[in-house]
Amino acid sequence: MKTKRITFLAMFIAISMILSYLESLLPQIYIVPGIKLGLANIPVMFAIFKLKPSDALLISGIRIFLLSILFRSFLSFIFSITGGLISIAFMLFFKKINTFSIMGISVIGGVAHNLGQILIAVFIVNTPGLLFYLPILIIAGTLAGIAIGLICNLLVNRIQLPFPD
Amino acid sequence: MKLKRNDIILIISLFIIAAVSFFFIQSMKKVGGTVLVLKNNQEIYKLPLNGNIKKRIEFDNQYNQLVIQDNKAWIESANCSHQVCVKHPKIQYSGETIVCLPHHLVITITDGEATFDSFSY
Repeated sequence: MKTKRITFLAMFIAISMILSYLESLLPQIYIVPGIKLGLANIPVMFAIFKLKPSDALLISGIRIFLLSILFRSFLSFIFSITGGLISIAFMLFFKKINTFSIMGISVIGGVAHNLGQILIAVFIVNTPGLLFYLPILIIAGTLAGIAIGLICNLLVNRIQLPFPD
Repeated sequence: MKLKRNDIILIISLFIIAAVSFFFIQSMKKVGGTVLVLKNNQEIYKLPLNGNIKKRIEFDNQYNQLVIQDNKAWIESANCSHQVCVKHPKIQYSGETIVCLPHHLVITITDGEATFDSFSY
């Protein structure tokens, strides 16, 4: 791994950890568990569009790992990593088939994240009743995806990386 | 910003899917009769929803204070890390569930009547 890439990734991971912290300061909308804005997804999406797919996976995976060992529990690690990986997988796939713009891919990422988390929750506590949350989580994922999509669209169009590799 | 037509279609269809599943779930809802309490997927209490009950569910210094009143059930207080179960709205329909993940505790509403002498109450 080139030093340049290591430095870049470290910077992105640091930014996304800070964004996770900033998000925890925002007032929570509490309708069902799991609604959030997903600010930490901004660097990940930036990596999907400007860097490599493996960079996006590393940024998200290492951020979740670090936050979990620093502040959270093993259980929240399982939830975050499931949501994160499923959401990145969907975003990379739809970026590849080139059907949607940044906005569409962001929405797909938000909704996939929520679907992944509710499925792992149903699996862990063995309670199909949690699927009641599905409609609200789809709406929440879509709205959060639109918000993050707007931000990412600005960033991707304006930030020119000095080191494309 | 430039949106593709597909983006609009995607967002609209997600809203439609959410709305359809919402109304589908609403139409299935009916007020339940029994409150089941599960710990680690094992049923530990079975309480009537029409009762007037306060129950402290405690294991190894982990407690959740369950309240059943006016045909609704909720967690009044708990010493778990998230407090998600405490913030959860009151539940009354069959299948509705409050989960306290840190304590591996599930409160769920089912059909049918539970009598006061059902086991372990």
